[in-house]
This record gives sequence, C-alpha cells and structure tokens, in this order.
Amino acid sequence: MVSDIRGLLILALLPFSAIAPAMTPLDDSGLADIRGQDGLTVNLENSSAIQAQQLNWITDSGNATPGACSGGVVDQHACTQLNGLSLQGDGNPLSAQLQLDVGSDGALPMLALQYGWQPSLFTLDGMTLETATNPGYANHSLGQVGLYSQGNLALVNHGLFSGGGQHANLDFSMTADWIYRQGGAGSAELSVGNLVMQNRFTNGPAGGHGPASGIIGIDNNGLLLEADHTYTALEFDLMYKASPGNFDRSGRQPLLYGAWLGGLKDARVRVSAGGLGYGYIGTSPNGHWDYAGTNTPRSEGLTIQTQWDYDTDFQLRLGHADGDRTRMELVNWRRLGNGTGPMFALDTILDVVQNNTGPAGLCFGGGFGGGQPDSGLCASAGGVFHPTRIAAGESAFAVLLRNGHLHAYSEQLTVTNPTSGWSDSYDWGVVLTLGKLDADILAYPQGPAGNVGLRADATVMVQSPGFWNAANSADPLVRAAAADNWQTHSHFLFANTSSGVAVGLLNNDLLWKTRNLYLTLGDTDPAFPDLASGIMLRTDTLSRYQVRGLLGAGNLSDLGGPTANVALWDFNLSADQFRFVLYPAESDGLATLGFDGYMNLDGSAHLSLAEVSSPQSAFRLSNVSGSIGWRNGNVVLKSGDQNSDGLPSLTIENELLLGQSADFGQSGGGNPLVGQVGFGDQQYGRIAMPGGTWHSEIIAKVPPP
Amino acid sequence: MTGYDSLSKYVTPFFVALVMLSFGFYPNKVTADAMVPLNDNELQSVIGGDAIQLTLRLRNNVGEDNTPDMACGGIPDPCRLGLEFVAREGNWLVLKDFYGSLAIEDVRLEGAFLSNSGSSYRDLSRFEDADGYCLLSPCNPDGLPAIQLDYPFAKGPGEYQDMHTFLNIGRMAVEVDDGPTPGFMLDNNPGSALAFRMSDSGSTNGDMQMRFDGRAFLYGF
Repeated sequence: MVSDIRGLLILALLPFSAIAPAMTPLDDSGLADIRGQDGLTVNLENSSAIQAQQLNWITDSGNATPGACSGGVVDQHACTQLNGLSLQGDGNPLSAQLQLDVGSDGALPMLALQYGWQPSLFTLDGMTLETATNPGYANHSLGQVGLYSQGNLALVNHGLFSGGGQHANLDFSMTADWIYRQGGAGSAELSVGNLVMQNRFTNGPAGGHGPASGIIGIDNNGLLLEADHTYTALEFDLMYKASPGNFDRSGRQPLLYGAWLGGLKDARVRVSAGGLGYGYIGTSPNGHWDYAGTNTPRSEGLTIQTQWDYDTDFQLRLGHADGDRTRMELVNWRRLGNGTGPMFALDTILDVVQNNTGPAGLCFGGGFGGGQPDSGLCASAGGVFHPTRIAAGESAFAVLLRNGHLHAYSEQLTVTNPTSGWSDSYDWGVVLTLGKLDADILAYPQGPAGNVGLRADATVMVQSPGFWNAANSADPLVRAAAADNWQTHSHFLFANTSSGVAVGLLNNDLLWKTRNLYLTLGDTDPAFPDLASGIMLRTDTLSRYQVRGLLGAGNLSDLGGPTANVALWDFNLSADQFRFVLYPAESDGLATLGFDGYMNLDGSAHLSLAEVSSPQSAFRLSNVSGSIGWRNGNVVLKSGDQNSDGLPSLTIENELLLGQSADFGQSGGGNPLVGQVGFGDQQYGRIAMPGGTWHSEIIAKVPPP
Repeated sequence: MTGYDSLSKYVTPFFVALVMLSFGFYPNKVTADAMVPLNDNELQSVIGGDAIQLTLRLRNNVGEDNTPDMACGGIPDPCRLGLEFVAREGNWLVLKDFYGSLAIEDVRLEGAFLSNSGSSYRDLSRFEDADGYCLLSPCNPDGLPAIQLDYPFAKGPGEYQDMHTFLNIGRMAVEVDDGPTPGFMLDNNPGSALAFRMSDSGSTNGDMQMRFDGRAFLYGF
C-alpha cells in the first residue's frame, strides 16, 4: 500500500508539483534556468503536454504479484485506477517555478518552499476500480474531469513536515475551473467555475488574518494539519452547458453561486492510513461493527478526520451566479447552547468494498451516541436497522462518514445585491444543526445505459440520539427528559436571534436512503421523455426521505426547557421511482435555478402528527402510494430594491402534479395517489386523488421588526 | 448537484410543513386570540423582533383567474377526490369537478415569549388534564416561548387581502369498485347527491376574501 499510494499522492499534486515535469528531460535553455544563490530556483517550461497512461492506487494487495489487481486479501484487494492523465499549459506552454531555501527562525533550521504555476489544464480521461470480484469495472469509468488552474503555494516549516510544534506557515491560493462530463468532448458538462480557493495559517480575524504558524507534520497517526486560526475561501459558480466543446468555459449557463469564507479556529485535519474495519466487537448479532479498527485490523484505505470552530468572520453565501448576483450571507456563527468540543467534526473513511462483506448497516434510532450497532442490538434498543452492505458479486468505492456533527448556527442574515449596491442585515438565522451524522455511500462506475457514469447506493442519517424513542415513551418522566441533550441534537429552525426564539422542527432525525441512484448529465430520460434535460438524479429502485422531530418553538438558550409543542412530526416519503432534474432557468429577467421532479410513492409513505403529551394520540396519513411530480420549478432570490415593498425575497414556485397528472410522458401515466387516514389505533378509511395540478408559489421575506 | 438535490428534498417537505402549519393552526390561533384578548400593556410586554413573512399561493386545477382546467368535468373527471370509509370498503364517495385555490398573503411567523401578566380571561384550569393534574409547570403559561402569527398589511377600510379561497365541488356521488378498477377512477354514477361552492359573488369564480386583525400566539405542551 505504501508504495502504491505514493502514485496517488503524486497525482494529487500534479497541478502544483514539480515532480511531474521532472519526468520530462530539460533542454539546455531549460537547464540554464536553474539558478543557485542562497537557495534553489527551478523554472519549468514545457510546450507539450505531460501525460501518464494510468495511475493505480492498490489496496490490500497482500501477497499478490506487485501491480496486480487480484490475488491479494480476499474481498478487499482492489485497484483504484486513474486513466489518461494529462497536464498542459492553458494558452501558453506549461510553466511553473519552484523555489527552495533554508534558513533559521533564530532557534530552529527552517525550510522555505514556494511553488507557483501559470495557467494550466489537467485532464483525467477516466476513474474506475478493478477487483477480483468484479474485474469488468476496469473498462468502466465515473467520467472525465478537466481542471483549469493557476496558483501559488508557500510553505515555511521546520523541515517539509514537522509535528513537533507550531512551526509551519502555510499560504495557498488558486483560481480554477473544474469541469465534469460523462463522455468525450461534446458531452454535457457540469462546471464548478470561477473557483477561488485560499487557505492560510493566520493570527485570526482580530489580527487581520496576518501570517501565523501552525503544524504540518507526520507522526505515527499520519499527516496532521493544525492551526489556532486559519483563513479559508472557497468561492464558485455552479454552471452547466448542454452542448459544449472540449472542457468548455465559454457560454456556460449559471445555476448557483456559493461561497465559504472566513476564519476557522482550532482547525485540525488528520489524514491516516487505514480504511474500513471488518471486525466485530461483542457477540453477533448484538454487538458493534469495529468499523474504525479499534480492536481488530482494518483494511487499507484512507481515514480523514476533521474538526474546527467557526471564527467571528466566517460566513456562508448562496445566490445567483449570473446577472445581479444577489446573494444571501449567513454570518455571525456561534455555538448552540454552551456545550464543549469542536463546533464541527467529521470522520471520513475512503475505501473499496466488495462481495457482501463489511459492516452490515446503520441504525436509525435507538439512541446510540457512537459505534455502529448490528441489527440485533439496534432493534433491541428501539431502532430500525438499515442494511448498507454491498451486494454479492459487486464492488464499489466506499465513502463512509462517521460521528459527524455541527453544533453551530448563524445568527445574522445579510442579503446583498452587489450590482446595485443594495444590502441589509437581519437578526434572523437558519438554525440547521446536525446531532450525529453517519453515512454509507457506495459509488459504482456505471451509467444507466453504459459503462460511463456514476451510480450510487447511499444511506445518510442525521440523528438526535435518543430523542424520538424518549418522546414516544409511555413514561411521562422519560418524555419530559427527551430533549435534555438539545445542545448536541439536530434542529431545523427559523430563529429570531434578537429575541432568541426559534420555530421549526426541533430534535429531529433525518434519513435519506437510495439505491441504484444515477447521476446523469444532459440525458433525456427514455422513461420520462417530457422531463427537462439537465443535471439529473434518477432511480427505479428506492429513494426514501424521512424527517421526524418536534414541531414547535423554543428559546435558543434552552431548547430543552419549556417549548411551544405543536406536534411530534414524522414524515416519510418512500418512492420506488424517483427523478430530479436541475437546469438553467429564467424568471423576471434573472438567471435562476430550475427544477423538475417525479416520485412514485411505494405504499409505505406516511405523515404522522402526534400529541406531544400523549404520543399515542396521532393523526396518521399512512400507506400512501401513487405519483407526485414537480414541473417548471424555479428558485428566485431578489434584493429589497427589486421588490416594490423594499423587502428581499426568496421565491420557490412550481406546479405540483398529483396522481395521473404526474405524467411526464411515461407509458401508462402516473398512478393515482391513495392513502389511509387514521387516528391513534383507529382507521377511518382511505382518501384518493386520481389526478390534479397544484400551482404553488411560496414567497419568503424577512420584514423589518 | 447532489448538495442542491439534498437541500431541495429537505426544502420541499419543510414548506409542506409550513403550509400545514398555516392551514392546521391558523384556526387555533384565531380561537386563542379571541378567547384571551391582550390589552395594550400586555401586548407591549411581548417580545418580538425579526420575523419571516410568507406568501403561499396554491391553485388546484384552476388557472390564475380560477378558471378550471379544461380537463375538469370530463368523463371520467380527473379533477376529483375520493373518500372510502372503514366498513364500507369498495364504496367511494367521490367529489367531482373538484377544484379551487388558496392564497395566504404576507402572514408573519415569529418567535416570541408570552406575557408574564395574565388578562381577566385567564383560566388556568385549561392547563390541567382530565384528572386535574397540571400539564405545565407551574401550571400557567407565563413567559413561555410561542409562535406569533399576524397579518400586518392591508388593514385599510374595505381591504380584505389576507386570505383568498375558492372551492368548487360540482358533483358528489358514490362510485363502487368494478373489479380491479377502484371506484374513485369511475364515473358510473352521473348523478350528484350534493354540490358545494365557496366563492365571492362579485365575479365568476371569484375567490372569497378574508382579513384577520390582531395577532395570535401559538404555544403548547
């Protein structure tokens, strides 16, 4: 693994690194550009592309022949293959400069590295995996990628890596355009364009984010990046082009602007060797899967652990990527309550799984604050076990998220129109906290009708551990204590941050589960020819969304105290057929985000509203089956000077199609919408809507106090 | 894409929730407001601030002028709603020519705290269960967080713009399952036991217009 992963690291550094150009012999003039004074400066220039046929990241090769993709550890040995790599100049010859110098900070010897590269284009013709379980995937691909970029990396450290204290000064910046497609030149392209990335160690916003030191080191646990303060910028326009040229940056249609800007405190990123643990803790089926390899060996792969707090100048932005570029800014982030620990944390495991092996699934409910319980333990604790293990005879990339949380929210909303200069701020926030995030995401190199594309099985859970079971307990004392851990629970609230009262779904659990979900670009779905073309998610197997929690309001300083309790809400949309398409649209002369959607409810969909002080007293719309569609959807954000009342607005409009009216050209049309109505343990009957069209327009504004 | 898609999936159920909240609890707020009037001093002690202001416009099988879709009234009529009751399986009460609209204009939804001083209408027994035990501690709602609802605009003389509704049920008949075809998909009974229409007589298919003064606080336990 060690020698094999080096190739991947080289690939990761290709746009930035001097290593790849070193493979190309330098002519005399090139050699003449190497200068030695106090340090070493290397100017690199190449008028042709630098290419590599394939890079292999081989994991769990065991005693297999070096370079082979089979014969290693059974059901674990895998090759992750990057095919057709190329690096060339963008408009000019490939050009980069590397400077190395050594010196001292007065006490310690220091190494200074500065690397800058001029506009370049890195392309990847395909990424796939090859295993003994499924060798045919060697001829498949997730798609092609192009990265236009230029940038600069400056690093001063006590050696290249030093884990013995805060000696590293990091300053990285890059502008780029990242483009993804699922075929050759001419295939529809999805872009993360106008990308700006910056990251540097600083002394924090109070010091103007001046340079400061952190740690970039390697220890027994892997690579560690850590700093008291950092400044991070990630700013981009999400764009789409249906009929592009070759990695085409011209004429793209904007969809969405997004940005992550500002400071992080006590940020730590650790990258460790080691993938998924296959062992078991306890006695099956009433124990935990040892996914992190605590007591048993784990397979080869990567584990990335991240955590940080949000600094005072941190903000998230969302808005139009075209025209006026009006945007919402979520600023003034703070911790929910007075808890301890990092505001955000997440462990990510990257590995390849295959042939019905590995941990069996995830538990929804049951109140587990950690670990990965098996089905028996999950069920005995009152949870519902969701199998996530890969099927026999299959292999896939695995992205496993564990024990993630977000215990912070934004206290202020600012709406800005940079074109007109209009801007206003409100003591108003969206409280979207994550109690415990776990996910098993399996990605296959497969299209719906070919070998190129992305297919995924995903199970994502965001939970408020223990709340739902306690809130539905027959014991009033248990119910009363259900929200005691509110500071570490999930909430989705609209908050008046001046009075401190928030309204929405408190202590919620969220489940998203899908199987055989394809991401396609620019395709017309043969089953739904009238659906718009664009960026589509589609499955004919399963797509399920479940949200449950306490519908009500509470004081942000004590959501575990007295709350306005409306109902215990449990909403489950489970569909055996699902489509969702994003495409460029226009409204009122503004480029906006358009969407169409379709789902065929599978008969297990339900909505339950229960009395909080008497959970068995629940209104239920259950066993719902039939078709629902969204057509001509549009999301429009306007600044105050674009509305007659002077208030900024967010409008979501669409046509909601019910039953047979949710047609989209499918053979036989949609299915009538039918469900059972009941209260408590009594069934009242059934309700049916064979068809219908609901025109829906929802306009949200933040008025002055 | 995936990020947006996830987001959109959450947004849609959430707004459904908001719609249901508005539908389901608006009558409650009116009732609560009417039962416990607050005087000016009490109102001033209610803390409020920035809110969210929502406009919800829904049209079921009608155009912007409430004209029904062309397909409504056909045979079978796609503009319909079927109800089947327990112990009457296979017999569907079908509402035909079913269409209408609902618009809620500029309703403000805001978090607030209740006043710490009760009015003369306060009846603490309503916070007791059937056995007389307090459902709240200490058996009164003073200072509790609440959801405040109000319609701040269109309060001039003759203005009725807070809520518009229009509902038409042209025919109502029982349809019986016919083999595998459920009754709600059939139009074997062309007669009608009942028709219902809620509209404004000022124009064809005009919508009923309403106005809500005052404000209401929704709280629970």
